[in-house]
Amino acid sequence: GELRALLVTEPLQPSLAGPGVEFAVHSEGQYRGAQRWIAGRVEAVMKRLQSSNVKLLLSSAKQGEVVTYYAKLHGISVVECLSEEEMALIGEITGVSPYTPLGDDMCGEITETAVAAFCPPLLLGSRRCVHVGLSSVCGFQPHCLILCGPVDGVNEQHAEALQGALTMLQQLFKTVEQREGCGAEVTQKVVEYTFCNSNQVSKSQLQTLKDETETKILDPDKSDALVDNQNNHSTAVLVAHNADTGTASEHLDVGEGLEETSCNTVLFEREESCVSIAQGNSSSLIEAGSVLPVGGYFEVLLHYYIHHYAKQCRQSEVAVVSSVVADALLSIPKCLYRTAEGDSFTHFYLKTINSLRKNEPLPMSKEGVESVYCKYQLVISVLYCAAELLSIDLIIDIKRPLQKIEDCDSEDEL
Amino acid sequence: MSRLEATNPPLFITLTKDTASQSLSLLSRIFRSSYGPDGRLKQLHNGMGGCVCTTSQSSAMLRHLSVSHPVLRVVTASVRSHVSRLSDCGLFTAILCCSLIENFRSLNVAPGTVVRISTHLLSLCMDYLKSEACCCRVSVDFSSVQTLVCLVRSILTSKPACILNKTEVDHLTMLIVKAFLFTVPCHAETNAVLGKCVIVPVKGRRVVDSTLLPGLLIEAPEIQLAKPLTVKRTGSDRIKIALFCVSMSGDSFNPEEGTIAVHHGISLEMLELNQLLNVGEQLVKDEVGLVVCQKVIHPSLKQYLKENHVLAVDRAGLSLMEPLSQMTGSKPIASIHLLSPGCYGSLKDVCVESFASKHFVHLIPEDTVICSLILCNRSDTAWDELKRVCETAEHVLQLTMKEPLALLGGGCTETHLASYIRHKSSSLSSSSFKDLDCSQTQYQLVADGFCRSLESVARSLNHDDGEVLTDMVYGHCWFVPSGYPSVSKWSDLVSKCGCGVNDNTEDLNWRLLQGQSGSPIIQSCPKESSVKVNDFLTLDCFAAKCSGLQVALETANLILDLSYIIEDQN
Repeated sequence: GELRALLVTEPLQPSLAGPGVEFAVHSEGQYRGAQRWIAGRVEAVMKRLQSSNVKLLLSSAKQGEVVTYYAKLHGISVVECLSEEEMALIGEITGVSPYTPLGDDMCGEITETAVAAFCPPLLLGSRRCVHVGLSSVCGFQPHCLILCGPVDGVNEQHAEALQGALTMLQQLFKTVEQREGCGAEVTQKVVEYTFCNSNQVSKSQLQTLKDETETKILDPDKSDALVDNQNNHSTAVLVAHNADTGTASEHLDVGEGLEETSCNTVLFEREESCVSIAQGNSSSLIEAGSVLPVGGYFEVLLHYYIHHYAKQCRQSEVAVVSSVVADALLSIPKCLYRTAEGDSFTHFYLKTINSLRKNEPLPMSKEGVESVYCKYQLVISVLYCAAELLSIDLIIDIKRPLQKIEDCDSEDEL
Repeated sequence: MSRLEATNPPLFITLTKDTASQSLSLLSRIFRSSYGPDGRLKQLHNGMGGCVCTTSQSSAMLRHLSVSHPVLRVVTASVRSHVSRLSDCGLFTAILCCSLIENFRSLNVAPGTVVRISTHLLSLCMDYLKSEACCCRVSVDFSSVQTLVCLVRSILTSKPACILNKTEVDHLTMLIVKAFLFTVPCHAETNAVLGKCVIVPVKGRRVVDSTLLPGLLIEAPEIQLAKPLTVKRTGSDRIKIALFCVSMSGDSFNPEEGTIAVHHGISLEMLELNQLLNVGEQLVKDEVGLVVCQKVIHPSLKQYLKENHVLAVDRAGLSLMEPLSQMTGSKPIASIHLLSPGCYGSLKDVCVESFASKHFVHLIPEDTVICSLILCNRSDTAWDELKRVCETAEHVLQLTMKEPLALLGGGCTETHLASYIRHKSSSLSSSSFKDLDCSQTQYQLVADGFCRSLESVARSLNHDDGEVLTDMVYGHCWFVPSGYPSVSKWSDLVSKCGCGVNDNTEDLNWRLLQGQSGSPIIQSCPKESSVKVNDFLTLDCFAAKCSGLQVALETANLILDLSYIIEDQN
């Protein structure tokens, strides 16, 4: 039937003397009485738990032998040494806070108990666990996923990959609104960065951004203009949004042909408002649940539209930097096709560009799909990071480790 | 001022096909040479002193072997985790894993393709082993002990470090099977739990002196043998037992935190002793016949109990507490200040036994779910090995109870599986090749490598320079001793196959098992042998071998997939 579980965070057995407390023994009777009181108190607590139908005690502290003994006598199972996270998770699922023996007045039923449907012991490999079916008061039902593998290290990596996949699924359903506000908040951060003055740093770091096989975008005569550009952190803005019926077909329903409608990325610009050349009547830039087939399509699409924008751009610096970013994007699909035989990257690139030019739907990839929102966040983060690195002109080596701002008061002086 | 010292940068190694190949082949040689009943022993020994371990078991070797290369550490970690779960087939897993890595690395196929194909091969093997039509498995019939005896005998004979002759093997086999049968409860309830067999060490005696006793033995050096034991019994002719898990020596008054201030004229030791004597009075009043304490009992209390005809046994140890409480139904008392009558248990009888020069108090319960195996062997190292073997045997019997199947031993399952895979892989449809994204040649190469690895495990059983053959009809493994004249036919030289099922009455088409890939072998589907189970089969644990196969292949795939090692040198 239904059983109840109790959470505790401290030992149930009262100690003879607490920390910093001195227990003075005057007489034999007093000492014996104290010991007996301790044992009697534990027994009373256990009797109370039994009468409140508590069958499981979940404790984060180690319980003494007396507690285990009386618990066994009264038919209560004890699980000790739970971690803080497990206690917090159980508290959140069941809405129950831990029981304090001191604050209990010992009358009436204990109210702070969690209800569990089952709690049998379980043998996993060589570890003994208890499998508790807590009934949850919040929206979700707790489940456990058991990952098996030959070695511990493999299991940890699988667990981390699974965490990543779950995070990606959460991000999949976010939307990006098409608003000025989005660009303005982004530009605020940009203005905080200091200006960079060194030619060499900009040039060498730009080299790393561009692809080896692409044509040189940096003209030696234009390098000054480029440096000025970096100082003001203006990079290319946006990409056309062919919003039309295509958007609807992307929502996780990739059976039908996909239109290339999903390349919407908002990048930051100078202190002016974000220039979004988004046409179309949909209100959000990226709809929730937008996906694209894997295999480099996102990068090629973004590359195509950035180049397209760069050609139409009036300012030559923005055009040049847009071209750099567009060509850098191609490094991803190049990596993906590196292990396959022959010129598969060139083949893929030409095929995709042709379909784009003719406005045809993208071919379906049999390997799966990826989330547009996640990719969008990725591109933004990369551009932020690149902008910050390009503004550094000197790295200073220090002997003392840096402290966080909050710790300033506790810093000891020499 | 805290300083940050420059730390060593991480070491970055690119893995090639030759990485760690020498260390891998050394590890593989160590395992191969210890495999099977004719395996050679390894002595583990620290130059600075300490005890010496002579063993051929993987659990003992891997625990002490220190491996430095990260690739090999993955292999040893997987084998250790397999052994910790299933106790058996550790060497099989290790040898198969090393052999798979060596064979797959020598192929000219991309690692990704090899991994896909080998996973498909593994699924073919597991489907075959789990199907009814599998010809190398035997179902275990629990109405007779024949198969259980074969299983235990195979395990005992496969560990040569125990140094047992035939009579000793037979004697121990019967004892272990009997011990296992004792641990099965007589009345099947819904929550029936298997009991435990506690192994009691007696070193320096002959193996045939080992005996099995129901109940538990607690070593008690001060009990004299001469006096017969008179123990107080309750009305129903049972003996009441009180079990204490707390120390009764009068020194438990130190609190963990805080301090105790004692006033003048009061002695805490006297207080504790008085309390102990009160406990003694209470025990006598409750007609308790036997008091067992995990830790030490104060001599005054012991004397008092003795005067009142209550038997007191102390220093029982933590490992005996759980079997004692399970056997007698008593709950270990955790405080000397509150005794509750609901925590006593009951026993049928208590007597004193002695073996070699040790004296034990023998507690006999009403139902014998817990039993004690007094294990004797001549030397320390042989005894250690024997204890491990007995624990493995008990675990294998428990696993067999869960899944009542056994596989043919002696290398026959490995060669039979290899024949099956050779047959299956030559008749796969082209759609499977498309699914796996490989060509037929690649598949054949990988399948050949897989089969050769399985056969190499069977070949490792042979340590004495003879030949190892397999037959093309049943796919079993046959050993030919060395020193045969070169012009004889195979059928004159073989007598029985590795597991004992087949003999040489029919003309089976034998061929030599080779290490290198030779000409392609045309194999028809291996058949089931017509001979039924008899008393002299060699059998292996089904669950352990299947899991070993899986672990070996998954670990080999993991190693093949590795491209880089990044090591933190701090």
